[in-house]
Amino acid sequence: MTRRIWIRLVLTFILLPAAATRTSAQQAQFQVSVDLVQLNVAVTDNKGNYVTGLKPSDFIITEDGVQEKLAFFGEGNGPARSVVDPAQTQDDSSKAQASDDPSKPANASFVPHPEVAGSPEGGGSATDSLNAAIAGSNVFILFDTSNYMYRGFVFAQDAISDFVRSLEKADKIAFYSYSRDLSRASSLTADRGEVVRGVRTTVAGDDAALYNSLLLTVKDAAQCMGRKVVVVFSNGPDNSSVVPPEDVAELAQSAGIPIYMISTREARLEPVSTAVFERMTAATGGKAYFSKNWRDERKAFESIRDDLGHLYSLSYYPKANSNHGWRTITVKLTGDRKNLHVRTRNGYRPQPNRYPGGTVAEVSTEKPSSASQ
Amino acid sequence: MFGAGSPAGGGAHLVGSLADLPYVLAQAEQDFITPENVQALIWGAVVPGILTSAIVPRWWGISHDELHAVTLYQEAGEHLLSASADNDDLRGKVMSVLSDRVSPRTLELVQQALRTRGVSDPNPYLTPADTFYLAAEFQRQYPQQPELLGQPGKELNALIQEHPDEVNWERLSRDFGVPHPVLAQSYARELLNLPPFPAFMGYSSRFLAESWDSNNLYWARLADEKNYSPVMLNRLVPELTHRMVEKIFATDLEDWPALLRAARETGEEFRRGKYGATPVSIAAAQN
Repeated sequence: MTRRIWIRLVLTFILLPAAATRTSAQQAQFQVSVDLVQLNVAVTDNKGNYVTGLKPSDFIITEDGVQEKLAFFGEGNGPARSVVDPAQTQDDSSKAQASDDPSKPANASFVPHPEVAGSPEGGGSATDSLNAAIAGSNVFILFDTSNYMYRGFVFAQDAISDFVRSLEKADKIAFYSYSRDLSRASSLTADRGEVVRGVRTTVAGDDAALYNSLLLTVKDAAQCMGRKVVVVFSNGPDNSSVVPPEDVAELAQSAGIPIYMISTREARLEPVSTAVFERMTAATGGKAYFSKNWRDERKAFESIRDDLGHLYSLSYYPKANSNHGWRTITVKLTGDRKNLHVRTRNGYRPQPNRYPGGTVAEVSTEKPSSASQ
Repeated sequence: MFGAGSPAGGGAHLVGSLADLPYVLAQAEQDFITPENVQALIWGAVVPGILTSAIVPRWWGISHDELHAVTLYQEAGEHLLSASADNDDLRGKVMSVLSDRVSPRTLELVQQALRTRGVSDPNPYLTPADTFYLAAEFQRQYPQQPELLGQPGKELNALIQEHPDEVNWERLSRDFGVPHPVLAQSYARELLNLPPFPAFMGYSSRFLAESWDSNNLYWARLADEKNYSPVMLNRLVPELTHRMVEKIFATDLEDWPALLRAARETGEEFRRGKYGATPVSIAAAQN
């Protein structure tokens, strides 16, 4: 009996450290998936002029009728900054002193996001370059090279080249062309020369599968970080896609990618296409342009460039919402500002959990990974 | 396919018999493949057939010996070709065998290349299915001269004697052939040993795709070289075919050598490890 107890004790001392090590190695690791909804919002007056200088407190965002709290705010090509809850700010004794700076909003204060805006002062070349990189949009240009574009093809190429050269340095551009299939002529790059070379390699001909190609483009754009837009240069109907435009628009909405369509008045001869262009762009927060002819496309490009430079970037972490389907977003301005118009996407569909078999965790022991919707 | 391209429609719908469903689905799939080069003219007509040949076959019942035999047949065919450059008698036999399988123009190019050995290589004109056929048919016609097939031939003979049921022509044809829904009115796999069909109009483009039976043989050889399990072909064949399709760069409607170039380019990238199955996917496929 004594011998049996002795053996047990020995085994206990041998196995205990091993078990402890195994326990620490098998410590539960929680991963958290945080959904950040990003909105690109254009505010215009009755004459179509962009309204600038608005503050976070000027916007009211609701999702499925529930008011959401703004997390990040940015204007134009400026960096996105974290919006601090005023209640929290007042509780924080280190920030108890009220600010006299009139440039700061009345009921919310800005704190640059540590991963987005660098130091609060924003000084230093590294921070500046980071800000610039984040501030710029990733622009995906999709060029119709089908038979519908045969006339005026070279003018369209010239207009796109001008647009590419005129975009600000911080912007990255990808240039794709399509006819029956998509061609990634130039992947996302800051090198304008490479993009223009891609434009020059395009040739016209074949059927038009606009929505198939737009779907692939939106999927590419959805994979990159930061603000992204798709600019489509097309002159007409789609005669070979197998996906409907509604599906493409919904994906773009869910990924927060505005689609801008540039076309000519020739496209208006086909009213169905025109209606689809307008519906798709409006749903995603973009815009459709119909110029007189190809040479006039430059005006449309200028307008888009203007749009990109004047968009407000609003982000929020959605409150608990049992709706796993389509969620409607409404953005309004505070006060009585009926003369101002707000343009943004009108909803999104939440992505399924990115961690297989898991649910969205509420508590985390690790750094959270954020994903934008 | 009904409703494709309708701008306000609810997307395309499949209407009709299920008999040709694999081909119709491949037609839809090819629209979402992005070519590396400017769109080739034969793309739309030929690619669905090639995709169908990669997707329809299943590879669960293939043995390692069978997979290795596919490699040995191709290597033995290549050995015969290279040996025939220095041997007029052998060259005559090789040309005689190949004349049943390749077009007269290709045969002439191969003969010229063999005569001027060192100037050009016959392989740019001969597909993996051609060399496979050459070895198999030569072995059948000249069984008394196995030494002409070189070391691969020796290994192949040993394999045939050891596993006659697994490495005979009928079995390999059934397992590594392609479906011929138009030519043979069947999705059963078979190696028909036909020269590439000319493409002129209508269904002839499908004939061209169905007479292209080199892919599965070539992918099997690559898998064998990399010591993959035969079941991995379930993943590798569709993936490699997809890559190959991206690389097709044809200049005219009958530029079938473009398919060979695309396949070889894909094969070289695979050998360099640019893509292929990950350990996780290997485990998944083997379970």
